[in-house]
Amino acid sequence: MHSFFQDLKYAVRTLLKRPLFTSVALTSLALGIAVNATVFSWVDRILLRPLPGVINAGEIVALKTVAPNGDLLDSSYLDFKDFQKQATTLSAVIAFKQRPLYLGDVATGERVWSEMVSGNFFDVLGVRPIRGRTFSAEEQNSRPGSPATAVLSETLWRGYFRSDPDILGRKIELNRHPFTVIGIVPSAFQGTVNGLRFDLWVPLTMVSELTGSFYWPDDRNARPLDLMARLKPNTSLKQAQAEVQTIASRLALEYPDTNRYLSAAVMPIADSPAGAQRILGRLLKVLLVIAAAVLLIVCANLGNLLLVRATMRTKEFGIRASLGASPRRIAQQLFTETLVLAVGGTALGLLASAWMVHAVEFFVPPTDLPLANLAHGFHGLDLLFTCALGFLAAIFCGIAPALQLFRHGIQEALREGGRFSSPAARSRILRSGLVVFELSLALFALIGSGLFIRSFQNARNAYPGFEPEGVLLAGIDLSQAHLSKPQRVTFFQRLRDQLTSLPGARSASLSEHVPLGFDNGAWEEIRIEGYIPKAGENMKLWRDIVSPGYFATLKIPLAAGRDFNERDSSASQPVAIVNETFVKRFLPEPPALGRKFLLWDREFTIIGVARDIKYQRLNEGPMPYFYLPLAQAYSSDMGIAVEVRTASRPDTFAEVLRSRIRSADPNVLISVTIPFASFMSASYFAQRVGAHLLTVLGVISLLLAILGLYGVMAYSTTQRTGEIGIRMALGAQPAQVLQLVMREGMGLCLIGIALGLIPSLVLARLAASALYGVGNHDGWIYFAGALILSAAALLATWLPARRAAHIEPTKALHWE
Amino acid sequence: MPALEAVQELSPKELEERGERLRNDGIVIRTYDLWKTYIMGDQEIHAVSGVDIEIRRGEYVAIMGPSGSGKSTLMNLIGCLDTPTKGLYYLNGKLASDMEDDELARIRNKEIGFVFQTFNLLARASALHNVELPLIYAGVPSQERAERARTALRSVDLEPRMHHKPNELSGGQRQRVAIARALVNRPSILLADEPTGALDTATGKEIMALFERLHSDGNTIVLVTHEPDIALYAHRVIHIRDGKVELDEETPRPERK
Repeated sequence: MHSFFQDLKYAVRTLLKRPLFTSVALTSLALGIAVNATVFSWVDRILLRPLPGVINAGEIVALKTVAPNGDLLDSSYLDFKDFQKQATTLSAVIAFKQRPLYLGDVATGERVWSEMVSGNFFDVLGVRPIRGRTFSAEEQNSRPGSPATAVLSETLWRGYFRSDPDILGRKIELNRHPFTVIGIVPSAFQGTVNGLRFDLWVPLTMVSELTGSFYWPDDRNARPLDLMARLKPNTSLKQAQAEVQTIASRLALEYPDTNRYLSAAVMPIADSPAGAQRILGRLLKVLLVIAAAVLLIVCANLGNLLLVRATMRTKEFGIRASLGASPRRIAQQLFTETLVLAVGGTALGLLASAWMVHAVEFFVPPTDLPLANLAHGFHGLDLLFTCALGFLAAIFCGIAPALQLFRHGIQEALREGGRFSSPAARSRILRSGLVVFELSLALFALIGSGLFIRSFQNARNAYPGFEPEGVLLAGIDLSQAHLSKPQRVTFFQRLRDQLTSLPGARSASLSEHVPLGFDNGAWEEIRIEGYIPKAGENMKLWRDIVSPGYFATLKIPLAAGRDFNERDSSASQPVAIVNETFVKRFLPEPPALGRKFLLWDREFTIIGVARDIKYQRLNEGPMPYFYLPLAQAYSSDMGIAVEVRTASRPDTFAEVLRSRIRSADPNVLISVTIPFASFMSASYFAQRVGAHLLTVLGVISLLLAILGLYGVMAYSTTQRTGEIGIRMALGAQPAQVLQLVMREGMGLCLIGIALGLIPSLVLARLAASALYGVGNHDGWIYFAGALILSAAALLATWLPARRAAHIEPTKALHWE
Repeated sequence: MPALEAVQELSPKELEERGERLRNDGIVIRTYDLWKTYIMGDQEIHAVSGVDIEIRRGEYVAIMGPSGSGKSTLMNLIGCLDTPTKGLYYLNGKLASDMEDDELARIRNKEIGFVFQTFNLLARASALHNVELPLIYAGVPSQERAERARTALRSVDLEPRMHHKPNELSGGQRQRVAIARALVNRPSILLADEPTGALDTATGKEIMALFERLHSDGNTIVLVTHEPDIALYAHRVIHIRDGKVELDEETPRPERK
């Protein structure tokens, strides 16, 4: 222990004596550790701890209904009850659905993103209130009409209610209905959708009061609910999976009208299709790999620096050895120096990371969804990870000089410490190996960023089948308006007419869903006249409910038939417009127009065929899709989006749109107004984040690797000064010396490129699902990566080569 | 010898013609008032001060002087490893003192064969490759290169060890490789800087015997040394002191050891 403290003191003193070396080493190490700590903190938040504030969150699994084609769907309340009752491998199942609620009155109220939850929600998640209570056993069995209670988040209580000490028992208004506050849950708990943050929880059974819709929890065909479950102790996911499948099969037999062909699946939250992990999961894994590459480059660089220092200090080691120090003792001294660097680098890296974690916030597209703060600060696991990285870095960096010491012996180093010595030649091979390793990793990082830049470009320039440019979107909420369903339909019609007639507006429409947002939309099971589904065929098709003018506003071409019009009302024959894939798949025999399908016990006649567009994701394949008219299919719990195509820039039209909606009915709330093009950026959010972050990592990797190459070439050139002098004395011209040094540097670069291409190809394959439109035809990305690396390497090699070419032969010959 | 003033007044064409004349007269090395001055702080150090020497083809000359006399600086200037601060230097009829780096490199390659005290062989290259090196810079095709290098090694009795690396050879063998390398391009002069300095006495004698043989083969040899015993192997000794030629004398013959 005494010798350790002695070494520690000496290490600090030695490092302080070499401020340039120490600062370069600390900065690069801090950078590598900061990048990794940052990415790991995101991975931790999104993939490892998707449910912050939940007790034993590892036991929580997502429970999804599985469509015959393998699509993972939400579930019905009655199915939830059955799973809850029948599952023995699950200690409990919870159900929830998110939506914004209005707290207080319309004028001064606050739009609060809330979760309508099953009564056992908090108990199952193990979330303990910091004040009051969560839902009682009685409330957990509640039916419509039972007492309306609400649980607030600590954030809402401290903010909106200004930490009111008398909040418990206080009556608050939610969507104009009185609720009693019964408890406050800690701010660490953010709800059950990964990446979103909720502030209010109310019983699911209050759905009709809050949304004005029919009481769908009694309808097994209504499947709007997310389900989660807690695995019983000592139960595997596999056992739970087998059981929920059995229960689903039982339900399919028992309720064939609603559950036929449906199955069920349980999965870890990190694999669930609901939440940020769906969008960011694959990207985060790629980022983690590239960040690791950056750290390895840093370690190789630092290893090289330490190796050079160790080579330069062979005389010192020799003297120590002659005074009785063993190689082990000297290696311990070297390692202590590396450890001091690693501790310093880790501390600086943590500081930098605390700032860098916010980077992801710059890329979040405008949305009215309550996005959780991904820069959540450091937790135990993050700190442990970062410290472990620092320690591993120290071992990795310190191993090269220590290895050299052990392999060649100090006495040999002392004996041959002069020029052209064999230890120097051996360490040159090691240093070159490290640089090749760095260059291959830099190429790997560059190609990674190239793939994502290309993917981002493709996504941004992709034609989604409609024209989002020039369209302004607004979200409206009628839950506060005292309007019956027919009155709402009339209001929609009037609003559309008013918006269309506004100066500067070319056309306007309303719809339930908007393509390419964070929200996937809704689906319905339909039966098509004359089409016999194959056994197990998924007839649950995605759909939207739209007003007349929707296709014209978004410029979705109609391939056949007509658009909806004002005559398509609740009193007229139900009609529908389907897309081309729908026709190809279900109605291959023309004509499609006039054919019918059955939905909600009503027969809808197809009056038009729209061209396919991208509905949920830019990289989705063709899918059958249908549209129903708002006047015929509107339900009171639907959120409604307004689309206006404007003559000028859409954002300049936002205030006009808002005031016109307010003047149409002051009780109609506007959640958000946003140009469609900005809204759509959600569809390439991952590509955008990936392109930017990976570019940063790629540039860092390139700079570090080039710095490493420069260092090695500069040192190697210095070491070879004598040799260069001999060559010059024998007639080598400056250009030939330049060529000699550059050939060596570029040789290392070429080996690095060859080795770096292999993991890059593997990366491209693994990241394929996170990339858009990047394929075999994008081989130029690899070429460009290699070219950039070569160009940078050329510069890094040219500088020492140029210096070598201008060495005076007399000085070079007498160089020691 | 013509005075420097007279030479300095010559036009470039006349300087060229003078070089031509020197060559025709069999003069390989001719310096006119050669100076090398270093600035150390605010002091001017004259390592070589106004040296005029003339060496004819086939001569065996030793440049001798104590440590710090300027003999190594003079050797660097004669070997075109350095350029003079002032004065003129003709090597084999070419005005070397006016040359740029590339021309100097060409001159070193074609006209001068260096033999150094510490051999200065490339540690990682075989004897053969070390000898090939000047031919590489002369642009000689590889086959011819190998053949000529082998012949040069044969001339110093080292052909059997041509694939050995320097650390597999004795000191004398290393110096013989260096001599073969100096000879391989058939230079105008062989410039040896303390060629026995790193060798034991017996090996030193062997090397000097080799120089003797090379001289009798018609090579021009300039030997730089501080050892009078070694200088005596040469036919003429130029004594340098304080950067100046102190004495230029013929060595008594046949008193060589």
